[in-house]
Amino acid sequence: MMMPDRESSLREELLDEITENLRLLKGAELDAYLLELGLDPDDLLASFDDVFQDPEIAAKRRMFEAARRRLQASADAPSALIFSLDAARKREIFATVKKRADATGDMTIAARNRRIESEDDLDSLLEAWVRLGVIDESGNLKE
Amino acid sequence: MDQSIKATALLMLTADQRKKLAALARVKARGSSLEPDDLLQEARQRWLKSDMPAEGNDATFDFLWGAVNSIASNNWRRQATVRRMEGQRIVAASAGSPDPVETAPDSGPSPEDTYLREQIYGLCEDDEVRTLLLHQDDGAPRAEILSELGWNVTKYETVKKRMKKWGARLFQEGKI
Repeated sequence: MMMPDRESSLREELLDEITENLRLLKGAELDAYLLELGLDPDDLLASFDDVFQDPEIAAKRRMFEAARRRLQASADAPSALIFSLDAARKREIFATVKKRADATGDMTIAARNRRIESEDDLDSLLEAWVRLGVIDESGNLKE
Repeated sequence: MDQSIKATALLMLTADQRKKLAALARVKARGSSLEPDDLLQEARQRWLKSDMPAEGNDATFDFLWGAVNSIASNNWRRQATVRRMEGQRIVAASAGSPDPVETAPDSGPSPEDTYLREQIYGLCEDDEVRTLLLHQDDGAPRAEILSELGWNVTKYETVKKRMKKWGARLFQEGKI
């Protein structure tokens, strides 16, 4: 004998409501809802990746995520372009700015006398100059 | 279809999509014989074996979302049926009759509904939600509730929606 049609049980309705919310929410709202459910967003990501990654996929995902982060960083940081210049061009920019600073005296002594011992030092100095408006992102002097 | 293309499509899933799928697997595995990882693994296999073209992360996500739901639903239905029919199954096996699990209808309302209503009633201070819970616990059908309370369908659904929001709390507390 067949049972008559029935409405969903309350348990099913509550779980359906949860899955509907999961599907609709995004970003910070999703994370907040996951925490409300007692689920840690980072833990969920890790468990998903554990199941879905074979070594080849894992390597590709790391590259993909790195590229995505670089893209995001370049969108966020106005001085990102300056880092992509080659070392010779960076040194040229450094020399040009220093020469003008020596001539005009319009830069702090600390900045003028900054020791450059590595390309990282040079990068951070160039970034500071971009942020201060001394040069543009391509390394050209600003008026 | 080339499996490497399908595997690569999995890379395109965003962090939100991966979190959603992992969370869905945990929700669907709750109270079942499945582990969340089993659900994800089976969904992954279905994706890799399917003829569905890899058209972008939204399509991949939709496929996996549907697969997790489908696998969980099939498992849940069979698990409930096996529980109900276990005794008859032993008799049928010894008598050479068809397996009752294969021919059994779906079960009726879950006996845990009353427990869940009590839990929500205890947590919730919304008078309308409490009223609805009391009427539902008496087994009143919707039409009767509408008539008794003077609510229209929209009002009924709105209150019911507020009631269902408590599901997250019950899930977090392990009550569903």
